[in-house]
Amino acid sequence: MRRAEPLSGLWRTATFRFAVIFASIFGVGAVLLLLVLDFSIARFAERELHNALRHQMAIMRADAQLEGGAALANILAEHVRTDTVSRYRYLVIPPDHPSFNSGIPEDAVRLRGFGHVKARAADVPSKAAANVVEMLVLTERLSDGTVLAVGRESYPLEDLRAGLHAIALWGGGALILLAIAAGSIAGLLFLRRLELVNETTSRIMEGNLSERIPPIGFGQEFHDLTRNLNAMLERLETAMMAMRQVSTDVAHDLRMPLTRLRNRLEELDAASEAQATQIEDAIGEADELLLQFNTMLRLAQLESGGIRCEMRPVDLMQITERAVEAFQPAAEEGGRTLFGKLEGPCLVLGDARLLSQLLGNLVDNALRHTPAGAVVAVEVRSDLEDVVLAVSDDGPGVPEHDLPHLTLRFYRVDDSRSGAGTGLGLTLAAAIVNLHHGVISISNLRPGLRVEVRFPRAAPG
Amino acid sequence: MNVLLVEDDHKTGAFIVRGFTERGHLVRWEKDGPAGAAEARTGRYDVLIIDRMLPGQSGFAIVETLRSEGVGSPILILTALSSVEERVQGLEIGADDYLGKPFAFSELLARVRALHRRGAEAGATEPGHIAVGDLVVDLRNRRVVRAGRRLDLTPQEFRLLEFLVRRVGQTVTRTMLLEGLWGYDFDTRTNIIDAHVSRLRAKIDRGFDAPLLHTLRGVGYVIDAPG
Repeated sequence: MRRAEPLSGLWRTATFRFAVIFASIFGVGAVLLLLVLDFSIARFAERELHNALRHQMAIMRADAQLEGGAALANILAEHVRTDTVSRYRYLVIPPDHPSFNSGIPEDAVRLRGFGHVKARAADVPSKAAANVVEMLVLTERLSDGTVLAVGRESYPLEDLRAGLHAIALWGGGALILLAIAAGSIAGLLFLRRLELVNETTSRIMEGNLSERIPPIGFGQEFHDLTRNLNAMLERLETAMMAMRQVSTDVAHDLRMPLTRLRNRLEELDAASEAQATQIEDAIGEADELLLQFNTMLRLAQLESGGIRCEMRPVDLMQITERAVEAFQPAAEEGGRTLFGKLEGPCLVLGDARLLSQLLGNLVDNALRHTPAGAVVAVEVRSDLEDVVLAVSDDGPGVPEHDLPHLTLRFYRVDDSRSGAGTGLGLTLAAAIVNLHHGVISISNLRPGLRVEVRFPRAAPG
Repeated sequence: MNVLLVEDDHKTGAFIVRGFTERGHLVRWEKDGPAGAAEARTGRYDVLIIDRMLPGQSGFAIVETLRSEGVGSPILILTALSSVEERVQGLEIGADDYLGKPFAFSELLARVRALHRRGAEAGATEPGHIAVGDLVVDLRNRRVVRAGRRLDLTPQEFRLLEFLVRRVGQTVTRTMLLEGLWGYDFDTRTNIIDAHVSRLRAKIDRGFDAPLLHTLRGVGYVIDAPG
């Protein structure tokens, strides 16, 4: 199983992606909300201000027309003096009378209708920090030449907008944090469950066919997922078992007639040397088949747990040494070099006969799939935790895409290594390793092939 | 050789009886446990071949009973269940050898003969020397001399030679060698035995007139004095 690294693979984890996606969506939402709010509040406030100024202007105009500009100036002066909280500023310039101004800049006189002007801060009791404040002014000229103006600073609107921006900023930030949290939680909820499924499936792929995915809960969809996966596993297992059973049955049933055939061949009296050779070859062929059937049956026993093996601490180095001794003459006859690189003792908890067979199969495999002149090294050593057994050759190796399948039943590599194999040697080896809680790995050495087996180290006793 | 066969399967039984009879041995065939046990107690037989699964009484039970009664004849157990565990159990309760079905007749014959010889030698003192023709094997000092000439053998070669000369004149199958020399209860495609034998042969037979070590095609090997 491929698991993401803690940091470098962060982006690849679903949790992180969930969080980022949530945060982006929430962030965009927050910005849009701010823009809409800002726009509509500004418009609303502006309209209100305009209306208020128009209203003030209507009163001023009425007063000026009824009682004249001078009177209006007096009324306003009185009004400004008594009403100190008024936010309005007034300007009256009657044609024949001193003008009255409660804080409107002179620029405003040139205006017709609404206009923004800058007022010095000193002119207005503004709490704005800047020296200059913005002011909206409505200016009108009456038919008798009187100039009327009413204005109000627009800083409350600016303050409102600034406040709104701050709220939006903090609110948006909080929203994004919430989104990240929500994404992470959602991701974790999914991931936790997917992790369970992942772990189980990888154990199943390692050969633990009868294992099932535990219920992962949380919702109907997850429930359905596990149920369906388990139903699928059930079918797969049944099919695999049936396949194994068929091959085992065939091997079992054919062994008997094949042995009879072999016995008949043995009984034959050869009339000539040539015939004797032919008979011998036929017996050899029968023996090959019998070997294959026996291997299949043994494999079936191993995989079904039919062999109750005696696990006790054994020295893998001695077993390896014996295998090297056993195979050396045959290797040399075939023009190959076989040597052991043994450091011992290397105690593992195991069944000596099965481990011997493991060694036999690995060495046999290396010798038969390399050309004459090849060097095969068998290495045993122990490190801190494991006992490591490796059989390496300098032969042609195996195409990279074949490597993961080499331990499958009857898997054969197409080209140069095909030779005459049972297609079961490495399968049996893997089954024995499995039974000993070891790990088998096969890799290309360029040139050559290396089969490495790791067993947990056993304490002497 | 006088052999008692206790086997309920008709086909297998007939096949074994025919095989031994053709080679000039006497075979008594009993088809169930109690009859077989009764026959075994007469002590007339050189080797007992007992099937593991029998009606009435299991082969293991018979072996246990016979051994507890002091019957010492060599016993070979035949079984369809030739797992490691079965084999170990069989040998522990007092059987002398163990052969899984189906088997080549030559394998059974070789093993029964080996048992017969072992039975005949039982009680005899361990020989210090074994001579085969002009070849003398000094088991104590692990020295080999042929026609007065000292031969230099590796420890491996010596073990093989010792295994063979202890069964001089008897067929030794590849399976017996795999088991006896390396404790291997499996065969391999690579014929490891042949290579060992040809090395040994190069040392003990090359340069001498009469070969001692012979290959029996499809069966195994035998070491024997010429003539």
